[in-house]
Amino acid sequence: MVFFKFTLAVFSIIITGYAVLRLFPGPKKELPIGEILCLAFGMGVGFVGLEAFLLALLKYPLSLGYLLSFQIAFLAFAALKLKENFFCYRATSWHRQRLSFSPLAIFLLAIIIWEIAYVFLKSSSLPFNAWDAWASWGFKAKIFFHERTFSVYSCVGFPGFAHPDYPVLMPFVETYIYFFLGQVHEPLIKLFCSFFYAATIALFYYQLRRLFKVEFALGGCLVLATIPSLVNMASTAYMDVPLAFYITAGILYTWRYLKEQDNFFLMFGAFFIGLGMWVKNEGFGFWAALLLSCLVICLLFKLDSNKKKFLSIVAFIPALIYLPWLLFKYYFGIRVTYFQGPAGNLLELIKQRLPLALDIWVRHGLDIGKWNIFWVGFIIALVWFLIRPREKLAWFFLLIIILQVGFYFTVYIVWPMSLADLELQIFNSVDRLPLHLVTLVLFFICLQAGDKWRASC
Amino acid sequence: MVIEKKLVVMIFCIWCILAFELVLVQARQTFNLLLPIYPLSLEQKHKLVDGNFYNFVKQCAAGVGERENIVFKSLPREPDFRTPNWFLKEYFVGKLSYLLYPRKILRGQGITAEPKYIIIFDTDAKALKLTDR
Repeated sequence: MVFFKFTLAVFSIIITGYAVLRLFPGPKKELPIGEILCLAFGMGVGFVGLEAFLLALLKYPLSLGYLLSFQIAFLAFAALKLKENFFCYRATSWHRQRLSFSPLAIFLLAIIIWEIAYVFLKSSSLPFNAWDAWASWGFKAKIFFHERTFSVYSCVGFPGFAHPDYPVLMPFVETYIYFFLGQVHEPLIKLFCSFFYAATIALFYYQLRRLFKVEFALGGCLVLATIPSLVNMASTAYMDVPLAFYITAGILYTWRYLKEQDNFFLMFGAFFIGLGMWVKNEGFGFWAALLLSCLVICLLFKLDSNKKKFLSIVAFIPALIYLPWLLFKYYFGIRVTYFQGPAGNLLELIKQRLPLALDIWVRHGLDIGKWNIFWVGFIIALVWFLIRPREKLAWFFLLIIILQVGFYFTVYIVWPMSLADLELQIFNSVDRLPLHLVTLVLFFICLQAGDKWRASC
Repeated sequence: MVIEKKLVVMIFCIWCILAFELVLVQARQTFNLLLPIYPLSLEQKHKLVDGNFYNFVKQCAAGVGERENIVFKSLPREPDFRTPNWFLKEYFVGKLSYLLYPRKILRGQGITAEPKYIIIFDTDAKALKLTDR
């Protein structure tokens, strides 16, 4: 019964996301049904989380009744507006999608499906067993569920209650699922979070498939799906994989706009970056990195699109989506602890902390048990790109990666804490922060390495 | 171009060989660990994660009203900062706070009235005890 209720919750999220998707003008070309499903899932999660946040802010008691009635009203509006077109999306039909997979493709697909099944099983087998899953996210969701209001800040200072400055989108989504279930059920929340792992792989596949043959696209997805750190993190209910999903969608769709000039992708890229900022604070860094990268691309490359419109959308839509949380934090005086002034002379800090952070990151990155040969592959692709670039516009990804890593290292340098504490923090974060970048790094590698496997159409 | 293609295929093959080891570990874990615990009840799964600590949580939840406050104390002394005992205490107090919510766990500062319930962490015995005044 509880699983049936969980399925209903997921269905309600996807159908709401689909309605949001349908209210916007569709893409010029048809999208595969799987890609639409991923987009609807991401949009639905964003809708549900923001809906709960706004209702709580307006002092409505948080309950399934209120949340669902708001959603049903929205769905009715969408259905009335679109009438019989509601379910007629510009999607590639199942019939036309049918492909003749080679034995190699079937083998690659089988391993990817195994990985996804393993992550689903692992996540749903046990309750939260990783610290941040309950301290940073689950605790907030439990408080919302019991109090039925946004009273989280009366609980700051409780033992175990961590990071009040983290955005509350995902805790609200967890609460939404608890309302459906009528109870706190940690294994199902872990299962829900692992859906982002599957959705990230699926979205990545669809972006690769547009450019490359099916075997190469599946090979890329196999690499993504078997990164040991990603597999481990996908089943913990940490929010790094959901963030990676939104960042992947946001940046790859922005890239797709650069290649295809379809406004649909620009709009949804910007939407997903905005939602990524609502998932974790690191999302803000990605927005800034994307904006700077777009600016450099506009300055250095000749683009067919309207550069002003492009930059305005990348700048303002994510900012508008994030604005309520920013205002909320400002109003309640919630500060991000990293930037409350450096702990000493900046040059001294750089000399002291940068080598430490670099040492830990490099040693960790070369650990085959955690990353396989992912970062070695990236270095080879990077050198190859610098010597003979296959796609000059791939600087777009490279700039984002460099800027985001720079952002993480800046935080390490200015974070006001002792060196011993910082070392602990770097060790704690070194298996997660690079995860946000893996899809971008892998897409960059594929652009450079996949020339021989380009799709003919 | 041919060398580049061979290089890509070679790196991918190395990846697959290393990933195969990961898949084998996962398969072992799936059949030996995950599939047997999957059908367990939520209660049993919690016990698997937290063992006796979860039994203690259940005991506290049964004995203390839903909106009561509980004070957490370490006796006979606070464990030294960053020793394994300190980490254990932080884990206990944090997870108790999470698992026992809406009961509120308080410690040290901010406690004005005489507490009705106290959870004591015996630092020497590494054991938890609930006392009711």
